[in-house]
Amino acid sequence: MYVIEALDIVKKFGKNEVLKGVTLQQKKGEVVTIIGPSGSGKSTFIRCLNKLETVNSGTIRINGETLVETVDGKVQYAKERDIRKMLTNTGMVFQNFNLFPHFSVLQNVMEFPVTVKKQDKETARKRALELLEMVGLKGREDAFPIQLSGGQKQRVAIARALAMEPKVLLFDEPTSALDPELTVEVLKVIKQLAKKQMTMIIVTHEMSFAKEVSDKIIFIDQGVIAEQGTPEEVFDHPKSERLHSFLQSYHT
Amino acid sequence: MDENFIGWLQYLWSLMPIMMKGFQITLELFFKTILWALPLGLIIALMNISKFWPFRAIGKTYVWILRGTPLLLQLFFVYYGLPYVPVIGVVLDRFPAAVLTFVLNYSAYFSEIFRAGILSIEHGQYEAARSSGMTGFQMMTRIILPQTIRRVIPPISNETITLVKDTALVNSIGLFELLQAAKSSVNRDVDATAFLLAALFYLIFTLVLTLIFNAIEKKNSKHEIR
Ligand SMILES: Nc1ncnc2c1ncn2[C@@H]1O[C@H](COP(=O)(O)OP(=O)(O)OP(=O)(O)O)[C@@H](O)[C@H]1O
Ligand SMILES: [Mg+2]
Repeated sequence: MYVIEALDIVKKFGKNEVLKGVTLQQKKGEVVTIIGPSGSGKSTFIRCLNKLETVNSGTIRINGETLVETVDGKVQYAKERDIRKMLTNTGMVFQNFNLFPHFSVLQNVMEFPVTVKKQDKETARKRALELLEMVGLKGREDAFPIQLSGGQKQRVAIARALAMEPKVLLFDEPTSALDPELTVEVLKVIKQLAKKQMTMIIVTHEMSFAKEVSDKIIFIDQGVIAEQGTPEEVFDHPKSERLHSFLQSYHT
Repeated sequence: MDENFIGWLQYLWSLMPIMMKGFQITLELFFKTILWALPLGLIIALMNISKFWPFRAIGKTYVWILRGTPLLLQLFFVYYGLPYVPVIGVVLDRFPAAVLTFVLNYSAYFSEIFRAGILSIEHGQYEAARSSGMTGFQMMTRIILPQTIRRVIPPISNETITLVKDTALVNSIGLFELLQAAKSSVNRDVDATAFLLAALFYLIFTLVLTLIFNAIEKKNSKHEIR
């Protein structure tokens, strides 16, 4: 069984067809990294997986449950209630962190389990403290987001996503808003998760990180998967001219 | 000390009971208005940003009418006009008429403040909440509105101070309150002192409110913005 199964996803913004039939099947414990030029549809694709964008056609299954399917050309989303349940299985980490500024670090991490899963506060608190320690923020639980550096904020955001015990974590350019030094500390946490067999989909421009951490690389260009394979296949032996020149732009 | 001055102080002191009585009505009108206009304003704001167009139509019309006509006209309408309106035809006492008018009027202004506040919350906050599986209600009550409330405190405090002064308008429907207390004393004694005293009451009241709002703002500033 796949943790995430996205079949033939088509997404249009008005007349602009941004995804032209993208398919991804991901097993438990796999780390998939999506690379590609700006505007190619990477964010749009990952956002379709947790319904931040609605698809125009295609099928998405999360942990075996159907979020959306297309029957005879008609797109059918699951019931609102069932969707919310499915979304507890997909954690999202955003480029701009999107921490809740009115909550402390600890409250940020406890919020989803307590409010969405109705976990009791003590259990949620214990788990939150463990997660904060794991991301290297022990002792900062009473700080407010405004008092943290970008790297710290992003690590809180990762802890917040993990607090829901998701089946898969989605990252949309988690380090693009960060300075190089701060990028390192966030990537370290993600690598740690990869080692623990966390299932992840990561959109990133950090090529050496992608190479190190991924089981599979997907190269999206102009709304289609132009090439995919193991890091070695994609980075060391690119087949297409498009991928070749895309990778070239990172070496200079 | 000058004998005249002592006499004036004694006169001032003698005005206190009637002024306090008037001020009490002013206070009551003020607090009842705030108590009802804030929640009603929030409801109107939520209607105005609703995806359901009939709600929006009602909300927009409500705001349009209540912000687009003079408060004094609304006051006259509710107190003098309502009795003649077919079907409704209620006769309200002065005080309930004043409270009702102020609640309606101020809720319209508050609703616009709330609406702007809600719309100012970054899109990412909604996305973070939504993508975790929160319901719309959880998202509003836990994430969006608490941040909105912090953000709208400065404009709400402005509006609240305007309300203090607007309460004097009820004088026009003959409701006894602070200004009326002063006016009647001035007329009776042919002495302007009572007006000065009334001004002092308003000034102290608005000063206290300003200090309270400043304290709240300061307390919130530590976790505003991201
Ligand atoms: N909400 C939207 N409305 C209209 N067009 C959009 C919207 N979001 C994205 N697009 C368009 O869809 C295309 C793909 O955007 P997307 O954000 O998925 O690209 P990306 O691969 O993530 O790029 P980047 O590397 O710059 O983040 C772009 O042409 C973009 O302008
Ligand atoms: Mg993007």
